[in-house]
Amino acid sequence: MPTIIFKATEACNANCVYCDVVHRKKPRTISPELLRTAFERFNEYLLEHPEEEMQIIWHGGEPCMAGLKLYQTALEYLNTICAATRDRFKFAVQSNLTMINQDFIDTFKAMGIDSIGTSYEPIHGVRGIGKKRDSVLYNKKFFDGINLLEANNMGWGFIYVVTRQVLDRPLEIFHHLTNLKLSGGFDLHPVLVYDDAADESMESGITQEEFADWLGAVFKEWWPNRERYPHVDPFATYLKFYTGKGDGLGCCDAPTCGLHLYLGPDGETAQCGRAADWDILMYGNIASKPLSEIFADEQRALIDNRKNVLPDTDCKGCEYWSICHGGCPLDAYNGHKDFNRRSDQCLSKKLFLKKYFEPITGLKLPKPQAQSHE
Amino acid sequence: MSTPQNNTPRNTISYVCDYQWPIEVELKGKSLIVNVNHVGDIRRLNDALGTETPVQAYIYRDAYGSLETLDVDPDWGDIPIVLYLNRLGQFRTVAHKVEMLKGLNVTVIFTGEESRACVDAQILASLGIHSGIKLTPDSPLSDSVLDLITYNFYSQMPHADIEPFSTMSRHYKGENYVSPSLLDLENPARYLHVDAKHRLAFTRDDLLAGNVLDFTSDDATDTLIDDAAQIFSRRWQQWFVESHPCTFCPAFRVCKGFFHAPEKSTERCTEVMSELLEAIEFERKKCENHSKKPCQL
Ligand SMILES: C[S@@+](CC[C@H](N)C(=O)[O-])C[C@H]1O[C@@H](n2cnc3c(N)ncnc32)[C@H](O)[C@@H]1O
Ligand code: SF4
Repeated sequence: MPTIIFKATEACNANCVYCDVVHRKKPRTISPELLRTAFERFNEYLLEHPEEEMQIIWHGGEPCMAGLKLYQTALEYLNTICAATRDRFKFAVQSNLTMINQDFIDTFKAMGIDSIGTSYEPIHGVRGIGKKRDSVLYNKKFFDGINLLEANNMGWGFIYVVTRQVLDRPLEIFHHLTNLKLSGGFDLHPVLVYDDAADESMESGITQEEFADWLGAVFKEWWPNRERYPHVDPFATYLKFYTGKGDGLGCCDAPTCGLHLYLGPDGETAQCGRAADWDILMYGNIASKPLSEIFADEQRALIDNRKNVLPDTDCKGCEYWSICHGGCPLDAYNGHKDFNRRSDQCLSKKLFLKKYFEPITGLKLPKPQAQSHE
Repeated sequence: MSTPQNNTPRNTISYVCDYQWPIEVELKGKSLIVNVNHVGDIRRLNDALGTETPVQAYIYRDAYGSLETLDVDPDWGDIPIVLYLNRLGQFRTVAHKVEMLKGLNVTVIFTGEESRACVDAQILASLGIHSGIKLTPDSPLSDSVLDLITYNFYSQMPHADIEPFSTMSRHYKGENYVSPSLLDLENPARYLHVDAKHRLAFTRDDLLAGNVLDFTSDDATDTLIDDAAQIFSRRWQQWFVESHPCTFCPAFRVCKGFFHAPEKSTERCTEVMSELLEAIEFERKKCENHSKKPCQL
């Protein structure tokens, strides 16, 4: 299924310490004309591919900064331009929830959204609203958002970004997050900091080893109590793969990036958000190119081919191939200027699995049945 | 005294009041929980209220008295009564009351020195009488509390429920918060505390401090109560907004900061409440296993 990360706006009301969005001098937001074009392109693609569905993830910046009107217009286009294909759309939103209100919720619900992905941080001064990075205000508004979602019977899950600021307190953070969402329902991510990041983002950066040890400390607590909080990732996903029940990997671990696409506020497209940030794997503008052409861009072969190359090169003999596939190609490119390399993030994954996951669980990754590069 | 989990839809609100004003008239027709000053009032008041004003429990407190010296009325029958007493007293003197208590609907909560209270609660529970200890934010949480938790949840010997652990366990469903304050009738889905001026609050402390709702028992409607209950039941979120130290505790879900006090170390309450959480989970699992269908072979 094609998945389109639709960054309709780069604007954000928050000012998270590690986020490059906030360093944009003039954040862009999509124009009404281009929004129309986008829905025409979505419809066109689905008419050409009657078997397919399409996932659209409203992303940002903060999606709500684009204003309610944008989503109401999108809904109108969905119901008019896409009347014949409407049932094959799956929408999602990734929002900090601090601006959400009943009108946004009504509009999102009308798009079929029943759960929202969000982000949360207990340590003051990391995520916050405005120049002052006001965390108390952020958290207050965040809870207003959560309460509104729950009043509307909508689910939510969140991403927690592990930074240097919390490196010495993995268990406290884990307990805080599980106290917030009692059965789990969050994903622990390392902060990603690249060479061109702002100084304060650099200061939040952590090493691969540090992330593996942080996850390991949390895992020691999660494993014996996994029935208390079952939905904590990456643990729950690893456990599924180690017990032969794995189905579907996140975009950074899958054999290929599949039909992933970033769509930016000026209609520009790229393989993903990272690609757009680095101006690589750019596939052209939807104003001038239909989606089927964009998805057929020959640059995609560069990343699709990794699954054939890596098992004989960087990832040769690696026991974790089936759950890693060399990691994110954009990370690989960032480190080596070559897509046919493994991602540098692979170290933290391997360290975590070898040093913590396997000894603690006593599990070993099942060997793939047939020799396959998938 | 069973209370549903905080966020379940309520059935009937019970009004928690002191028998110091004409509740028979002014709260007529409402479901009540009545704090009485004299045990002797219980039967008389119950007769006066009749079936029109159902009482979920009469609560009597004597901070210094013992069960030994309390006048237990064999005619209480099945009137639900909770006695908060300092201690059990001389067992040989109490022994003859035990059989009588077994035939009544009485729960005895001990409020005296902690380790004494734990022993007394265990003795009564082992004799089949619903008992408990009163935890407060200043409770030392000595090893005797841990022993009582162990006895309540892991003992193979049959015994009656021990509070507040049993009520907490009954209400904890894995995805909701509970706290020892359930025993103080803090449960917005079930209880409203009301004073002589008919002012309302969801906790006794709020009522006494004047933190009252903006409607009274005279004009309370289901919608007003539901809306106020929803706001009250989100109080825990303020702890997160401020990143309060208790939100980093593994046992917050069964405590909600009940034991928090400024300048107090959280080490001991974390330890004891974490044990309690495990014990509650152990019991939940046991119940789940027991509710499995027996093998048909
Ligand atoms: C860029 S935000 C956009 C959506 C929305 N504003 C939000 O905060 O959820 C998407 C997610 O990326 C995460 N994020 C931002 N910068 C990051 C970084 N440098 N490393 C890892 N995650 C990051 C955020 O914490 C958030 O969970
Ligand atoms: S709220 Fe999201 S987009 Fe905004 S600064 Fe924070 S992470 Fe970035």
